[in-house]
Amino acid sequence: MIILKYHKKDAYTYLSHIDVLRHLTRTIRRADLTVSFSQGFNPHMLLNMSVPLPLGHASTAEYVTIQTDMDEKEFLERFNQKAPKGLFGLDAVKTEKNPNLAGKVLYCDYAIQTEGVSSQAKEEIEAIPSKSEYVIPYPTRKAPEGEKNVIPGVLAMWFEGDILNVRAGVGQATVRADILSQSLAKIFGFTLKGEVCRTKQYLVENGELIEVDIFLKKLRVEK
Amino acid sequence: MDFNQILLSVDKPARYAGGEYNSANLDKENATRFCICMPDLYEVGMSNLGLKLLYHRLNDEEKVICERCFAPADDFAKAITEAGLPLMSLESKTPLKNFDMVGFSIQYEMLYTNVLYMLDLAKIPFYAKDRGEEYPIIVSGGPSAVNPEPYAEFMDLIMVGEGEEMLPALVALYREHKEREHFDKWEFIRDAQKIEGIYAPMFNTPENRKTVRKAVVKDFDNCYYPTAQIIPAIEIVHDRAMVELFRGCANGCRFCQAGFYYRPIRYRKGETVAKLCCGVALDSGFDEISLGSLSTGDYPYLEETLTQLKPFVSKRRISLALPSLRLDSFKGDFVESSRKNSLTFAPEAGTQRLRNVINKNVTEENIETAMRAAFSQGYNSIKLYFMMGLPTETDEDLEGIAQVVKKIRWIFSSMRKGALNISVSCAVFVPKPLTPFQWVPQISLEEVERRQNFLREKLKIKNVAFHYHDGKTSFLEAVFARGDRKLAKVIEKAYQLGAKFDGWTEYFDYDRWMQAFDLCGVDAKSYVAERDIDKPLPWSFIDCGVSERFLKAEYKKSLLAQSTPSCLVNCQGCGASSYCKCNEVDDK
Repeated sequence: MIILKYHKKDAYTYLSHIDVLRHLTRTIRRADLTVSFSQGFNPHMLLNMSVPLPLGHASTAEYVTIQTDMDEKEFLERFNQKAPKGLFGLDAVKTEKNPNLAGKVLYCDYAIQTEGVSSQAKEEIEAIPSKSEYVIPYPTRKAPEGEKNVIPGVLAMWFEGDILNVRAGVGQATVRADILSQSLAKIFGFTLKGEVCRTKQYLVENGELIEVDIFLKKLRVEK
Repeated sequence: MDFNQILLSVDKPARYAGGEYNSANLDKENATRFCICMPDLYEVGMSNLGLKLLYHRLNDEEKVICERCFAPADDFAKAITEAGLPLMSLESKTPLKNFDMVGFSIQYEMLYTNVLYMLDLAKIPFYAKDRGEEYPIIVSGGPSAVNPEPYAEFMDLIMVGEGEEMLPALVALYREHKEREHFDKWEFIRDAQKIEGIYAPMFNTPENRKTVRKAVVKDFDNCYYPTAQIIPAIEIVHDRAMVELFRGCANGCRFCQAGFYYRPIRYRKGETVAKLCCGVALDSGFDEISLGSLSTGDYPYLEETLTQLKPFVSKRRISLALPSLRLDSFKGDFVESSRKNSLTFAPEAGTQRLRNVINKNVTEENIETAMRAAFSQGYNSIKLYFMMGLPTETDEDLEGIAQVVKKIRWIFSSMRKGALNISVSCAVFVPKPLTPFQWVPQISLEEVERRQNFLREKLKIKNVAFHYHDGKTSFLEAVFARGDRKLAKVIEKAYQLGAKFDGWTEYFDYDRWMQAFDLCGVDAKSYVAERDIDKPLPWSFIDCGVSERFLKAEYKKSLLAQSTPSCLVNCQGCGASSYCKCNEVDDK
């Protein structure tokens, strides 16, 4: 089992989850890597992706689990020789068991460049997650006039310079970082630059938040 | 809105984002810039093999950059128009207007309005006569060049035939003219006519005709084929690699334009096909390879190719698809290891007499043998393709379709238990240029409806589904297939009335087209009426190798229900061998 960490950027940010999966399998085929397939008339490569990334988001922390006996270093090297620039491998970790990231990951960090946020607004925004309720306009395609209480899905918000970071839930308590930041930009009167980028994924173990990279290090098979 | 915001506001933004793996290297100095335009959505246009062949062929040139552009969906067109942006190439987001050359690949008649749609969005005038030196050279190619007359006035140049050698030659000539002290656009267009296959409508008019001879790649075994192909961003209609086994077809079915247009018959050797398949699988990463041709069962090296490929594809779980197997060439063992799902056969007509008329050399016995083979392999679902409105067709012939279906059901029940699902598709016959039926009339819409109703009654059989095409689309296809230059203004008018994506049923509006014909004072029906066999046709100046004398002889034989054997039996002297050796098999 190899868990490949990769980034998603440039034109590839406009790809859906299933399209990314197709590009990963084609990259693995081009690199002629030895991986396992399912049985049956239409065998498919045994890949498990982590939680889906909304269309239009970049990421520096995507994960895919691949069933293979290959060495992690060789896998990463050969993968990157044939990978599109927008879906480059960043790290590979060999584990015994499938960590089932799609089922375990509950929160992710997102970052977006802002412009013109006053320091007072920064403070107010950083304080939002400690409120008990915070309802904002939350327009989606299905409900363009929709509203949402974002508190259950937002663990933290903080600024690093002009970069707004959001730690938001995925799965049941999903809050989309792009919709949230667009609404905040309107409320607090600042502008957003470029796209949202996912920077970390987290799972919860024994009541504690663990970043996926740290979790995987513990699972790593030592040679 | 900036471009990224536009992308996020539309459906399937990856259609317009570019940046695909194996796409063009834009880092070339002083390059000639060519943009291939596919007048259809990304998913359809990207499925075209010709696009990949020509795109990579041009980009392999040291001094040429080739980019792409597809017809955008409504939402994107609206968004760029509102943002004041013209239609741009996918790779470098360059407005089409700023290219040296823009080439439309026109696959079939119903795309003509989309060419205007793209020119309109690109802010380029429709007619060649209205475009000065400041505009790119607008060229077109693709199968519709069999009769380019309906859209000829929109084009500076039209490429008739195969592009692998013709297009690089055309671009090289353009560069040569550009390097001259004074570039004269019209001088270049006139000069381009010396390249085989190039038609310059403004200098070659119905009043002053010169023959245009189709371009053909004579050495097909060594024909250009890129193994590292552009990888579509999103799932496309034909999401697989395609390797051609051969070009041309030996069967001479009299309704089939491709069967005559792509002659002479030129094979790729088995080892070449196997090498290209392995190459494309590794360089592009597709998990399915389609071995393409007009009649795969006629490929002399098929078994050899499959044997060579077997270890490579089974190790990597790559599936091979063999489309276009003729009924009489179906051999159960080809498909032995694949899923026993559905098989498609095309008897085309219901009686032996009518099959002789159209020269579909398939007998009742062939059908029976093939079905027995299929059923013993485990298939329990069959798709059958027929045509309606064929020359000399009677109700008896239509009833024959039901008889074929009943016979197949009987064969199945004599061999196996359970249910057999049969799906019958019946298209309306479109008499096309460069076939022996180019002179025959198309049946009227009222008659189409009567025959469809008749057949629907006859096919009320358990587990048999009957599908048929809308006669109105087939009527317009026939009009444009057999049209002349008077139709350009009808296409323009229809576009102004809102016609585009006419190949898509949800967009197609027959009444709008009829309104366009009325407003232009053009009688659509006159184009599908019977033509005088002794008078020249609008497309007679296009020489595709197959002689008019041969087509006439075939037409006369058809009226006597006489068939012509396959070219594999012996050469029928159609004239295509004037290009190069035809049907030459290398016996090892």
